[in-house]
Amino acid sequence: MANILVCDDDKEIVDAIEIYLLQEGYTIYKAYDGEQAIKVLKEQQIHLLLIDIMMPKLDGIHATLKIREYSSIPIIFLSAKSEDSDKILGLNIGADDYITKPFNPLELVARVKSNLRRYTTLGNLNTENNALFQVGGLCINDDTKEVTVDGESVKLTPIEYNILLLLVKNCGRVFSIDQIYESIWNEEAIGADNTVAVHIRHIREKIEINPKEPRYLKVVWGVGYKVEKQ
Amino acid sequence: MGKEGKEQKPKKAKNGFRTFMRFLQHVSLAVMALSIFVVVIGSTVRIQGFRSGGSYMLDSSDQNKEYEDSDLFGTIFGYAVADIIRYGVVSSQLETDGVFDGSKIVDVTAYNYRDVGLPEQYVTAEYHLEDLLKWANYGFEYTTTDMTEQQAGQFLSDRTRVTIIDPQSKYYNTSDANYLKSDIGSYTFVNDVSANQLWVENYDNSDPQEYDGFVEGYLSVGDNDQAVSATEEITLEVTEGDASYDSDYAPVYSHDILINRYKTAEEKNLEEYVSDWDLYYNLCENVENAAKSLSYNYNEYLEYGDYYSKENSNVRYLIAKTVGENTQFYSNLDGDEEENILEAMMGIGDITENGFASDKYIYYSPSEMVYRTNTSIEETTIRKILQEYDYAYPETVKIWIGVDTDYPVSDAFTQGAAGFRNYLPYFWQWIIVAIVAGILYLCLFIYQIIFTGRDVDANGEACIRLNAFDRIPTEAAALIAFGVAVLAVWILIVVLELADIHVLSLSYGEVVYEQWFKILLVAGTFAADIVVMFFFYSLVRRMRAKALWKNSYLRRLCCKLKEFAWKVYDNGNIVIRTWVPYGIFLFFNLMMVVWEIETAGSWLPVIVVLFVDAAVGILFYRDAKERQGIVEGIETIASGELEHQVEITNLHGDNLTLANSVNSIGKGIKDAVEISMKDERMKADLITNVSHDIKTPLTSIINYVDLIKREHVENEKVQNYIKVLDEKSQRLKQLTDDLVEASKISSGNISLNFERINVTELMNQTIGEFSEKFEQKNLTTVMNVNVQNSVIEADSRRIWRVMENLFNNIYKYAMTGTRVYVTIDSLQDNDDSIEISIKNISASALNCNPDELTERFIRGDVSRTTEGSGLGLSIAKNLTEAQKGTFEIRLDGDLFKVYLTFPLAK
Repeated sequence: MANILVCDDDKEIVDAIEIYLLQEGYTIYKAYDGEQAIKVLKEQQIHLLLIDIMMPKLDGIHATLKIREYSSIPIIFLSAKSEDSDKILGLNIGADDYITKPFNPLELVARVKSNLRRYTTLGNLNTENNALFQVGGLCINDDTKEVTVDGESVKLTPIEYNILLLLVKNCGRVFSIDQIYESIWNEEAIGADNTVAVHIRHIREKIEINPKEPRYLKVVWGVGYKVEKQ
Repeated sequence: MGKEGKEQKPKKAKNGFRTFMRFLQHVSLAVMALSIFVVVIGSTVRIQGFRSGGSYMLDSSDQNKEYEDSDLFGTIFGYAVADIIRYGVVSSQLETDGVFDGSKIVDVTAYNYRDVGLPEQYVTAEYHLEDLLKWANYGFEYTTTDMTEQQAGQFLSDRTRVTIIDPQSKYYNTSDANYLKSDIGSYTFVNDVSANQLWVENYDNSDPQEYDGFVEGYLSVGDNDQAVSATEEITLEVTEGDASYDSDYAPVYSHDILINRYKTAEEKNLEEYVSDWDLYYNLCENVENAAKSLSYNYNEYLEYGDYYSKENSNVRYLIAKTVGENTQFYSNLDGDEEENILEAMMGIGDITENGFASDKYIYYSPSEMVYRTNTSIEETTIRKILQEYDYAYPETVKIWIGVDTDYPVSDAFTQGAAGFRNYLPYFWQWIIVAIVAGILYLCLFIYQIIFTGRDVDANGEACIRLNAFDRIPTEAAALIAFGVAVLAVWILIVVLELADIHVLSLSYGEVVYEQWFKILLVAGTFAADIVVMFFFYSLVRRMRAKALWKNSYLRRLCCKLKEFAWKVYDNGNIVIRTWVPYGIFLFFNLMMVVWEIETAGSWLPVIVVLFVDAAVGILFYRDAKERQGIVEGIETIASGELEHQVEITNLHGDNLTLANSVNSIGKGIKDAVEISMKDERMKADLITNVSHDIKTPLTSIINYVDLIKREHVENEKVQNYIKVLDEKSQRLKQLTDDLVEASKISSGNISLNFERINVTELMNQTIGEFSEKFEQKNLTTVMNVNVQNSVIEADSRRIWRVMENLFNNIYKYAMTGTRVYVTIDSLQDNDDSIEISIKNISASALNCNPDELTERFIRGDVSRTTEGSGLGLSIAKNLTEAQKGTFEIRLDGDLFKVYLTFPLAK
């Protein structure tokens, strides 16, 4: 299995993360500041780095900048800084994901898995198949009506599948509730209805790691829904 | 000290250089003035001749010639020749044998006719020359006498004496006629003829002694018709007188009679020569004219005689005039010289080898057609001169005129020679000197204008240095300059007067030829330039230093007046400030109206009034403008721009006070707001930091609670404890997030990203999101949309947050199994806004003020045991307001109503 380096100046958090990840079968290396992390990275073959931002000696941002000079391994920030600006900064300097403290352990594990899959197995997918639609880790095979997220199969109802297919096919475009309703049900949308909104929420709960911060199916509040291009 | 000395040195050197340049400038002007003076005066040779006196412009073509060959010499000599010939004429009239002869007898009529020729017969009288000269001096007087025909007859002679020229006389028809008895020595008298004869005929001159020349009824020549008619008239009157009137009643005529101051040579009165009034008047006229002409010639004779005497002139002359056997000589030569010349003239010797061969001369003998000269004077010149006096010079005349080029005496020739020799060789040099000096002066003048006063100040920057005079106020300096100018003009006038120079008539006295006059001119020019340039450069420096106006009394006066006026204005109270100027203004206008009436038709008062009224208008306008500026400033501050300050420069009086007050109020408000904003921001920062610090341990708590949960603890009690820990840790997490959010919103520390939001869509999405939760509590949503257009402008994430908070609130506090009403409606009194109302029934009694619900940490249940931070409604309200909406909670029993209004998107 993969080697994961966890770096945080709070030892208890590192230990807790180790427990979760060990359960998933990963090999864990630990570091308590940026310099240690870089040192470990040089000595060991590491497949994924979980790193805190606010640390002594060398903070997460600068450590990431240095690591990115020679390595392309997935890096996930783990920070108490929850401002949008912090997230944007982190992602822009080279991190692949950003998890705010306090985090849900399951979400953390799911994100780690997802990033590892993207790094190790996916990325060389055959896209020649016309019936195959892919957005990031989300993959829809229209022939087999099969939906996978980061390689894991997801079970959707026919309506949910059709809605997701519509949005993935028109990736980036925003659909209003009425438009979705008319395309899927082939009926004229009569006034306001929250049916579509409910279905969307269900889809999100199935395909997203954290439905409140969706990666794929995004709500454009007051306008409609879309699947983000990746 | 040493350093200062070093700095001073180049400055002094520079000043020395400038002073030298200034000196050079004055010198060059003086040199230029001198050269121009020399060129003007030197090129004009002044000749003190008698008639030829005047100026003669030197010609540069004479430059390489000897003086005696120059045009100048030729001209002077030409004038001298003309003078001598003229002198010969007057001499012949007044002299006998080279001496003035006062007893000479003059035939007045013949004299008057000397240049046109005499008729054969004429009426005349003869006087002694000296009598005529004296008579001309005293003047001719006439007296008016009334006479009858008879008395007139007695007054005049009964016969007219006529002089008849004998055609056979060898003198007849010569130009030198018989007007001067002494010249001719021969005359003819006509004998007595019968009374009725009008023309003397058949006179016999065999016995001239018996003939006295008197005739009766002689008609004046060229006046025949008139004379005849006069005679007829007289005859007629006499006839009538004989027939009708006694002699007592004979008509009386007025006659002007010449008073015989002197008698004729025959000791007779003039009236004794004529029997007719016309002849009488002609005769009188002839006498008078002859006397006056002779008198004039006598004056000339004296002057020429003196001027061309051997003692006073370098001119030598000899005129030999032969009339009949008589030869008369006019000369200023010594005996020996005269002999030599005379010999040459008579053809005995060669004129060129005699005495004056090396000198300049002319010799002219018309009868022999001989003209010799070694000068540039041509024969035609002499001939023309002689033609004028052909009556005085017979063909037999011989003229020799020469110049002694040793110049033993000072005369026109020596003056000419001096001018010629002193000036002409240096003509071009002087002109070049004048031009060079002029150019040099101009260059130095420009140099001084550019560099005068230029200096470097203590900071090393260029400046204009003013001397003591430059610092004198402009008016005082101008006055001094004016005084100096007046003094200079006065000195100039005095000098010119003393030197007898009349600049306007361009006639200079002798002094201009003196050496000291040149020195005076140079010194005067030099001094004048120093003085003029002193003032001029001062003016230049003032202008360069911009001190012309700054350093003037007028400006000081203006400033004082202005200061005083503002002082009075600023210190007076508002009533005085209004009424005093108004009173003055009114009084002034009234005065001007009165003045206008006094000087009816004059434009001056009207113009003055217009000016003053315009000035007052401008003053009012300025005041109003100042106030307007303040009013605008107040409006700007009121509209929220607290940093705005009213411009207080150029404000006066109340306006200044007002502006200052407004500025301090604005500043106070601004400071207060800034402090409050700062406090709020600090609070937000504090909360953010604290929440970060809380989150890290909270992470551990949550994680380890979760790990404990995974241990599948069998103990039921422990499981409950873990559950509590889990819930509370989650709540703590929520609380910190909300706290940060709330503090950020209330400190205005968020940035909104407005976009078009469809409210209907938003409400559907929200209801969809909460459908699961509401189902858990068995809540049913009823949505009513009563508007067509529900598009507003809002930040999509923030408005979702508002809805999320409101729906979470409902989820938490609504009574299970009730309905939730969501209505989208247009505002009754405002078409531009929509209203979203969300209503539900509270599970517990709402025993608090609706306003309090939106305060931070206020919750429906005071116990604070349930889920939630107590910040939800506060955040919702603040976010709504941040997005230009309104947020209102109304409580009606257990009915909990939230009303949101947003302006519709344009």
